[in-house]
Amino acid sequence: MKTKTTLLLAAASAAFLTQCDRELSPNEKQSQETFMKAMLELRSPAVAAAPASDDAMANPTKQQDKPVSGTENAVLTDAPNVPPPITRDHPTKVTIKLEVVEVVKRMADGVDYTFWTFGGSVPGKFIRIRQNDEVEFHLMNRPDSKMPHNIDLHAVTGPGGGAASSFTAPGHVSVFSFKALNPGLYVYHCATAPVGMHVANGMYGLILIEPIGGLPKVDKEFYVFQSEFYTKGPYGEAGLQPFNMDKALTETPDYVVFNGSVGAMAGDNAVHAKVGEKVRLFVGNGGPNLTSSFHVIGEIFDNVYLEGGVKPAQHQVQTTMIPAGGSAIVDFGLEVPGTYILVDHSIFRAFNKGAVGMIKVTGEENKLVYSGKQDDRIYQLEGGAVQNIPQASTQQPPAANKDERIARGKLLYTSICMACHQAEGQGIPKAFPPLAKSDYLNADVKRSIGTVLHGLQGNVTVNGEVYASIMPQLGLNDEQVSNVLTYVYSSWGNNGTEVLPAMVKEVRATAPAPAQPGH
Amino acid sequence: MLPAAEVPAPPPGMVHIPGGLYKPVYAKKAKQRRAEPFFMDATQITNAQFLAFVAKNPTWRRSQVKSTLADKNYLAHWRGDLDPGDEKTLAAPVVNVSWFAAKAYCESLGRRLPTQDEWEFVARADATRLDASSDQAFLRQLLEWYSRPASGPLPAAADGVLNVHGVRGQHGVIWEWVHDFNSTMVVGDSRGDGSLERKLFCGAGSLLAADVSNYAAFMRYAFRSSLKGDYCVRSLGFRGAKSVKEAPPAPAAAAFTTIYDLPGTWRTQDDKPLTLDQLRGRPRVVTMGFTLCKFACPRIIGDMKRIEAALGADAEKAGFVFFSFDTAADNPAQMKKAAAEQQLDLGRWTFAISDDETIRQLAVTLQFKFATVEGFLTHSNLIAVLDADGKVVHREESLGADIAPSIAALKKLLQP
Repeated sequence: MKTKTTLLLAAASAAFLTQCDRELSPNEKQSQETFMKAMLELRSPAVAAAPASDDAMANPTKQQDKPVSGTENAVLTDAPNVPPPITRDHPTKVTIKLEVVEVVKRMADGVDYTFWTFGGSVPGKFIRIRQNDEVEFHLMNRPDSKMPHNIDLHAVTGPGGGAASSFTAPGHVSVFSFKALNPGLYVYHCATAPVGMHVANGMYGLILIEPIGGLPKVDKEFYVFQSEFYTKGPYGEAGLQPFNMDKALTETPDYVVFNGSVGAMAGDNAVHAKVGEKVRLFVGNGGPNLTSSFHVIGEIFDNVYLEGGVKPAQHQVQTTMIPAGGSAIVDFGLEVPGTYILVDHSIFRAFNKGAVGMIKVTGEENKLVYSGKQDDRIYQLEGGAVQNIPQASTQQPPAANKDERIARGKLLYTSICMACHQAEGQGIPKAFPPLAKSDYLNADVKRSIGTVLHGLQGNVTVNGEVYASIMPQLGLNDEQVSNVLTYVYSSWGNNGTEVLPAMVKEVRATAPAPAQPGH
Repeated sequence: MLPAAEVPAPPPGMVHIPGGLYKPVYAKKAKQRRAEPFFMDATQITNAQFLAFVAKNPTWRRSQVKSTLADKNYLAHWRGDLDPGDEKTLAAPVVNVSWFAAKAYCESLGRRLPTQDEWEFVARADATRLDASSDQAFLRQLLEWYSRPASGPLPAAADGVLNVHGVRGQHGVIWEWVHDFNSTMVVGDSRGDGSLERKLFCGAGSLLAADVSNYAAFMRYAFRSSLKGDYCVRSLGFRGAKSVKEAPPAPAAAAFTTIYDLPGTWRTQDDKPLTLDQLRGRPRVVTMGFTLCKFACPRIIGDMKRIEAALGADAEKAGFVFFSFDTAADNPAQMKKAAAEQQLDLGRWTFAISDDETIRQLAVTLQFKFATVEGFLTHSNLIAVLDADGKVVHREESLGADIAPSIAALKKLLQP
């Protein structure tokens, strides 16, 4: 949108120029003043006043800019946060202080890992500066580090990207300087031998060099960084997991994650936005080995700044490829509320290795754009609807008391029932009946046991609503049925009945009750 | 194997290392290197042992140590000058000690620091084998140990894992100083190593690794490469060594302010003895290298000549020194020949060579790195501007660096 405005202004400017050889009417004068004012308020008048030359387009480092003035300390943020956009219209002298920390942190629930980090977490701090800024970079290596470290910023023009100049022993600090000649979104990482291991342990992050004039305005910006980890034990194996070199060499990671750990950007850690907002993601990929097929489920990227460049290279993109040691900027408008899931669409990484993130969007529904579920009818093949859930371990001794029964029932409910009846037993309108304050449930325990044992077909009326779904036969044993029903009866305003295995056994012995049409 | 009768009895606290052939990780095509038999401390030096040393040698106490010999972290974990801490701390290996301090400790007992070759030779051993360095399980174990941060208290030195030589705790808890730590030239940017660059720049890097899968060894070399002689690091201690045959080195001066305070005698191109102290009295530009160098040193000498020319008449008041580390080839005659080839004014220029120990100490002090790898002498690049007392006021470390700052520094020194 901004590009378009600029072009229009440029065209208008050309029109005024052609008229300079005659006297202007007062109206025209006023309009020219307004125009000039508008021009001055633009963040990069030099660019807006005339279309950039081909040379400048191809090589933004040749773009004219104001002289360097002032000093400031760079604002650094941890993922998923991004420092605020730069509002300066000139380059400045920026000091960046980044501390290397070796730290044991959570990789997944019950799984810890010794991460080597830029700033205390993975990914490293997000650094945001402006094109032509003159940077004084301080790399501090904490005294309790075991390793020397350095930093190679892909944004640096010069041998090693700063790596040799920043090689720092534990308990020391190195300082080097560079000029941010090239705008773009760049990966930085440690390049100390053995470099693969330093990267594999978490030493990477993003530095954004904003172009002259900045990036187009958006409402929300987030920092997303994909990387993979190679651990001694397989995915999920509890305890402090050491790095596994063999898996790194064969490029078979146990974890592929966004922002350094499983769930770092999902569930309670999801990021939030509202309908109507425009969201920009700064996405990096640290590898060390894998290329990401970055995708947001349910969204289409309006713009993709391919490979972290400063111009949108493509519009309306579903999945963009991000190489190890590379980046991309993507943005999209939010039209419909809901949860949008970030994945590496090399999809086993998402569902088996952790590459899932979430953006939770709140706001008004827009049924025209997306209706939600409008209808759900039974589609049944011959042979009935018996669905055998694999038997959970039956080795466990029976529950000793009601509390234990409820605790076990809850686990069972979460894994089997919740998908349809929902976390709070509220059900799904017009599809699956509620279990919370359910008249159907509370009226008849034996009927409820029978429903769990045998499943249910045909219409059923619950709390005044008629449901036409189907409940599969679940294949649970007596103990399991008693546990899950006791949990349900003890939750969400139900009557607290304790269902005992003997009761289940009794119902199981009688023939299944036929469906009760009309009720 | 020597017959048991011929194994010399080790000094107290030391074990005899029989020596032998070994292939260092950095030498891809290299011949194997020979480690001569020597003695090595069975355990790392403890805080208690180091306490005894500083008690006897007050100049090595934390409050008195010279800043040229140890940085601010020197013994930072001690409660006071003569108070390392509780019983557990006393038994733990001493850390936060500089190379100079570790060396002085060893010399006070007529010992020395082990060389990198000696240390690595012993480090290949596990509990049952002299060389476990090709066993992936052993290497994985080392990686796990090395990867852990150095936070928390250290276990007792006597509890270190025992290897087949009878040496404890070489891996796992802390790193250890070696005498020639500055011969490791993993450049900061590890990826450049072993490329064509090496041929163009002597000091660009020389880690042409024989075994790229030995990450544990890489980590040790990278760690050493990040050090300077005065560094004191929380995860870095040391142990002593002693040659079986040779006499221990003469103790070095415990204290120096500039390189001109360093002990040792050099020989010049005119075959005259030279102590560094004799160089006082005028500003000088110094470098280290070897005269047969075909790559970096001619460029460095060329830059020094340009600096000399830029000074004009003032060059008379300055001096130019080339310290050689090539003990095999550089002798007075060779150095004189090299100076003649370069058409140097020997009224201003000095070439000097010394013994290994004197050279090593100067190199560490000047933060200069050098090594012999695969028959090549490799080294870092250095042009240092020294004031009349030998204090370094300016230094350039890259080949082809701008000479203007060096000229400016000299002119400032030459101002009346």
